[in-house]
Amino acid sequence: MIAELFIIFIGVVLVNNFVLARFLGLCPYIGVSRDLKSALGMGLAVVFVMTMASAVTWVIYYYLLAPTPHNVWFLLWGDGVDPSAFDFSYLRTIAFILVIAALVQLVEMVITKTSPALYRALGIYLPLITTNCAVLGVTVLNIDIFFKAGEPLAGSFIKCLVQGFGAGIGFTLALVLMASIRERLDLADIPPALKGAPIAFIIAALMSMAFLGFTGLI
Amino acid sequence: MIRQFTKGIFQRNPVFVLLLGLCPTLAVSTSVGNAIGMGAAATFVLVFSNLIVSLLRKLVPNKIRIPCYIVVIATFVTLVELVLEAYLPDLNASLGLFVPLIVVNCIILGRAEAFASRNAPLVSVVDGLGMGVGFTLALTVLGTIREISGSNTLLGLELIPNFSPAMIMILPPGAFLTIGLLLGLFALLRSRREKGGVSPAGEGS
Amino acid sequence: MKEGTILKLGLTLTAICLAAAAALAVSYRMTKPTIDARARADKLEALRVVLPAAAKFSDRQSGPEIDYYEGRDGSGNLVGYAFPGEAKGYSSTISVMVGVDPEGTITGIKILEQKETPGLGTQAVDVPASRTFWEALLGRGEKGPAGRPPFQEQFAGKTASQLQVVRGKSEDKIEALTGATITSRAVTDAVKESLQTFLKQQKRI
Repeated sequence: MIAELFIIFIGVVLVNNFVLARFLGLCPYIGVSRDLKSALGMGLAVVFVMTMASAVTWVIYYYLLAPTPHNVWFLLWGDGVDPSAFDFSYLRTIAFILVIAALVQLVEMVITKTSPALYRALGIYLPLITTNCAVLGVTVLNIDIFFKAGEPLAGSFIKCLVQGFGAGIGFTLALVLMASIRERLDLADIPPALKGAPIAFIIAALMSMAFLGFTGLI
Repeated sequence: MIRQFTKGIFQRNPVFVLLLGLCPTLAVSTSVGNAIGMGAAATFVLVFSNLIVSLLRKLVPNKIRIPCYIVVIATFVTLVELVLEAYLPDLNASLGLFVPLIVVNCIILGRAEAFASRNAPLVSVVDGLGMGVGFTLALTVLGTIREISGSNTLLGLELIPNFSPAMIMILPPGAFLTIGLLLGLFALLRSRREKGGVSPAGEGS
Repeated sequence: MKEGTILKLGLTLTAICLAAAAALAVSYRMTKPTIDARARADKLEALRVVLPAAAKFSDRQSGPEIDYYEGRDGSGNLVGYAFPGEAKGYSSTISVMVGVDPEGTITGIKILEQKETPGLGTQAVDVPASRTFWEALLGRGEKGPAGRPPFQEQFAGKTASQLQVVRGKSEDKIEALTGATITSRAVTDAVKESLQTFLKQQKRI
């Protein structure tokens, strides 16, 4: 089990890095990678929200959407009918994005009340996270990978958590690497036309090539 | 009205100028077919969400407008998911994860917030159509370049017999490289046209 | 904030969510029959491909180790079995349907689901076009019937001991796809494992 979780973690951080191999979360990757400090802040906020979202969406899918005997609607009203009549999995996208939006809002409120220092560090990045496709992406992937026909595979909850956490770490890793390179790049002599976003993408290409080297790892 | 349409295609192209909707642009542009399919799906969502948001703009209180827009967008995305699953399963399989992720495509929420919530329905629809076509065009350009150089085919048909293509172009690095060079090219053209000082390409979130 | 405003905000959001859910429920009911029918047709198609000699297939039989289907020809003789298998590929779980004759020789396989790297792993399901882009453009060359993916065709006629992936040409083993050794190995493993499980189960019965 531990080995399995470790493989999931390595897989999602290095081999199938969300940014460099799956193209998720590119907008903040290019937009918030100009200095190291904000990259780190954004990264931590994403790790936090992704892990929470993975847990919450697992519960929502398991109890409310999946066509299984665990479905709460089935338990309440499903007398003598097949659980597949309670298949609400088509509402997955809309339910998950609302959960993420609410979660981000909640996290923002809690942080404001409890830790002003943390709020100063993460606060401005939180609203951006709702539309970060990496967050919705990891929750949808969790369901795709760790559920089969609505039934969770063995240990799927903890696997979802690890995958959510790992995806956030992978995103942070890519973001921090990029920010460090771009800080140096400000001093470099590059063709004027390539300044800004174009050179950032070309660097991303090189980083992505480097990450392809992790392929054989798992 | 016509300018409203063309602005989304050229001078305010969502991908090449505003740098929005990058994730699907890079992820599904491995072939022209995928690129067009993705573009069409996003355009559909963009047009209808713009229409509904514009119709609702006086009814929705300011404080909760973003969640409302997200619900509207997610509804149309789910509709697209269902239709693709029922009638175009092959396209659905090759776009995969990026069909539900149309919800968080920044172009769509961006247009709802910046345009449709302030304008009449008809103009909003035209704006959505223009932006959608601009998005599709950008995807197709990228898809064409990557399919030709990476798999030596166009629309799945072989171009040069017995030629081994540069496989890296259909892998993630090829996507980053292509968009980087294209953006650089556009920045170069723009600075040439302006003749004045060189302006770096704009950055967005 | 006054209580009245909160109430109004909540009610508006609830109304929009309810409208969205209702619209989706209706479209789900409308598309579900098509989606289900397609799933059934796909399954039958897969069985036909992997057991070409069979004219009729039994329902899914549950075995102690692995579920299977029985295929019979026009006069009711048993011509083989089909059963599913799966293995972890490069970026997804690959699931296959395998057909064998009563002696345990593979009659065919079909990849049911995969989300491998476009252009590399997906070669496993690619069918090369029978004409080039230029021929199609000029209207020359035959379009030809859609064939079967050559990678999957290799499995027909092989036995469990021959299921080994090799690079380069081979007469009696499985040739790996260029640049997609992991995918090639995963498909082979999926076939081999399910075949061995099935044969062991047959021996016990």
